[in-house]
This record gives sequence, structure tokens and C-alpha cells, in this order.
Amino acid sequence: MKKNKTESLAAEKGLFVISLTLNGRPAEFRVKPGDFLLDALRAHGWKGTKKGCDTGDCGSCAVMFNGKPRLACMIPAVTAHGAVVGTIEGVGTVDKPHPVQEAFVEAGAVQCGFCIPGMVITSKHLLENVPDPSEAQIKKALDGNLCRCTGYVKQIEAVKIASKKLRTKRAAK
Amino acid sequence: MNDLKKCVFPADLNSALAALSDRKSSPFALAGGTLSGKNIGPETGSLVDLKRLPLSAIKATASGLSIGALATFDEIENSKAVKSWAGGVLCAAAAKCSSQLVRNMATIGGNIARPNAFNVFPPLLLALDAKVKVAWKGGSRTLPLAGLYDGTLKRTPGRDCLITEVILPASSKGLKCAFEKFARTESSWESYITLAMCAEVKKGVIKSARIGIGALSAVPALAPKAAAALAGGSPGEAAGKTAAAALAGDLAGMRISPKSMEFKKEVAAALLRRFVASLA
Repeated sequence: MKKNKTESLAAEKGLFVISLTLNGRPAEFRVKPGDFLLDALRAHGWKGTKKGCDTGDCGSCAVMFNGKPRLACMIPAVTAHGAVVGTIEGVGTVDKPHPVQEAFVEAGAVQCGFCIPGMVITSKHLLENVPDPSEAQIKKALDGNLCRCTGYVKQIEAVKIASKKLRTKRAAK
Repeated sequence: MNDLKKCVFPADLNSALAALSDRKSSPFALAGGTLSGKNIGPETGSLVDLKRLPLSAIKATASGLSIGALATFDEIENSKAVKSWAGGVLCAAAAKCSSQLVRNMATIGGNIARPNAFNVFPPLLLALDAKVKVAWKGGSRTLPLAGLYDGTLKRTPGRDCLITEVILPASSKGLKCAFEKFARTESSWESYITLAMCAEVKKGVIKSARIGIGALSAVPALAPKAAAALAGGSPGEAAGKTAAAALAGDLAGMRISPKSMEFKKEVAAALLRRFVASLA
């Protein structure tokens, strides 16, 4: 996975074998030419990333891709070769949730929950770069994450709570 | 792209151009992927992923503002150099493209590579008199943006050449500009009409103007009649009215659905009048 080197992958029996870093660990996927990263993740068991619109409009498939939240449904799987990918499974667990996940629960921001993995990925990235965001900054960061259950008020509240939690945590260190 | 046999990840421009010159493999270059990722033709045998190319630098030089073709909308929106250019109009335009998740992926090169009616950069870059640098194996050329769409280039970016750089002329730095995307919602990728308006104002007189129109046809167009009507006038309500009347003449030459013609004419005129008033 040398990013400063030209590489080439050839399909064998109609499949590409791609190597990537997934949630901090090396991973290898076999993908079809027409697969997108979203399909590949879910086919390999990483089902926290949700398939919503599949057209880049809803944000439920948001993953960290080379340092930024991006839409897994728009990334041809083969082009994830060499990429550093982070999914919701790498953010926290049921036993040890990330402060952003805790905040979403505390704020009551989760209804059906389908959009939440994407929302958490986007919110976490925002708070890593803007520790104390304004409401306008939160709205802008989340403008690609659609939720059909709520009116977004609770999610915005959750990001504010998470911001406070993370700042307190940082100050305590 | 079920016939895809190969994916190349070039780390430098020459390797990318070499991969694209292999015509037997029916190559296709992919940048951000938000426009083309879902529409890669079934005939494509080789995908050339451009993400590793060092073509995203944004820098102001004596000859103008250079924006690497792989600069994303997010990078453009947040670039200090772009913010200081032409009143930051490119930042404003970048911010009006779809959602943050899309802006993290979409690149300026991809946005101008092929004319799509709702692309935000083509009408604005046309109004800013931008040039583009295009490279292919064994050659390169710098040409006005319009050359991508009017047949001047005689090549297809992403198929047999690559756009490597967008260059705004130094003269555009001090222009007063506005970018208006009249759409149903802020983040809607569709637009009823897109207007990019740039004017050089000196001592209370509009020396020159360029107006780019998007969303009405796949290929962005300039509005020369409206621009000519503005030149030499003073910013204000009267100049706005004159220019808006002239703009109707420019729009008359475009293929707009008769059902929405009156509405779009009215909106375009209002947006232009508002811009001219803001120059005062």
C-alpha cells in the first residue's frame, strides 16, 4: 500500500483482490468490477455502514475514506485499494461507545437508527477538526446526512453534547 | 463496467497519461467519482484512478490563481488563496454544490470535464475568463474553458487526456463577482438557473462585465448582450434594468423549455438587477 507509487491491479476470474486499511487493520477484499465500497463492506460483514439511497444523496453510507467522510456508495470498490477506511465498527462498541455515540443516545437522537452510523462518522470528524462548532457549522457538516424520522433538532443537540464531552475529556488529560 | 479488467493507480502525471494512451484497454479516468463513478461505461476495460496524483495544489502566482484539477470542492471552499480572489466567489460557488459529503469527494477537474447542466463551476469559470491546462501523452495545451465544450480541444478529458490545472487570470483577482444558484433548496444539486456575474468597477464606472449562465443548457454560455449593456454604466438600479433587458436577448437565443421560459427570464433578470445594485 505505497501511495506514492504507481500500482496496477488486474482482475482474475472476474474479481479484483484489493488491500486496504480498515478500522486500523489490514484487510483484503475480493470485489467484482461493478461493486462499490458500500457493497464490498457489507458483503464482508461490515454491515454498520447502511445502504440507503445508493445514489449519494442520503449519507447513510458515510465512511472515513483517506481522512475525510465520504460516500461509500459512490466509490468503486476497486479504487479503495490502498485506502485507509474507517466504518462505524471502528468508532466504538456497545460496551465501549465513543462519546459521540453516547451523546446521540443521551440526546434521544436515535429513532429508527438507520442514518445514525453516517451521522456519527460525520459528527466525529467535525468535532476532531472543530472542537466547539457553532450550530451553523454542525448543520453544514451534517447537510448530507438525511434522517426521515426526526427533524434534526436532536442530532444537532447530540453534537453539542458530544462537543462538551470531548472538550471535558481533553481538558482532564 | 463489468468488463473492467484492470485498475491503475498512477502516482504521477506521466504514468496516468501513459495508462490513458493504452487505447486497446478502453481506459477511463476517475477523479472524485461523484459524477462519473456510477456511470462508467460498460465498455471500460481499464480504470485509471487519479486519487494519488499530486494535482490538488492551490496557489496564487503573479500570473493568476492556479487550482489543481484534483482540488475538491471542500478544499476550494476553505482555501485562503481562493477566498482572497474575486471576493471569494469560487468559495461561495463551491459551498453551493450538493452536500458536505459530496464536496469532500467532487473535484473541480471532474466538474468541468464534461458539460452537465447543473455543474456549478463551468458558468463561473467562464465569467472569470479562466483557462484550463490539459495534458496527454506527449503533449499539453492551455486553452480557454469554453474550448472544452466547443470542439476546440478535439479530445475527451478522462478518456484520452486529463485536465491538470484551472488558471484564473491575474486580472480577475479584483473583480466584483456574485454566484447565484436558484434552486429548490440550498443543497439541491439541481438548479432552475445559475448565474455567475463578474464586473470590473473603477471610480464608480463599470469598465467591463462577464456573465456566465448555467442550468439552462448542458453547455454553459456567456451573456454578451447583458455584459455589453453594463459596460460604461454606473452601478445602480437603472444599469440593472438595462442589463436585465439585454439579458432577455441573450436567453432568447438559448433552448429553454417554453413552459418555463418566462419564469426563468424573470428570475435571471432579478438576480442580475440585484448584482448590479450591489456594485454601487
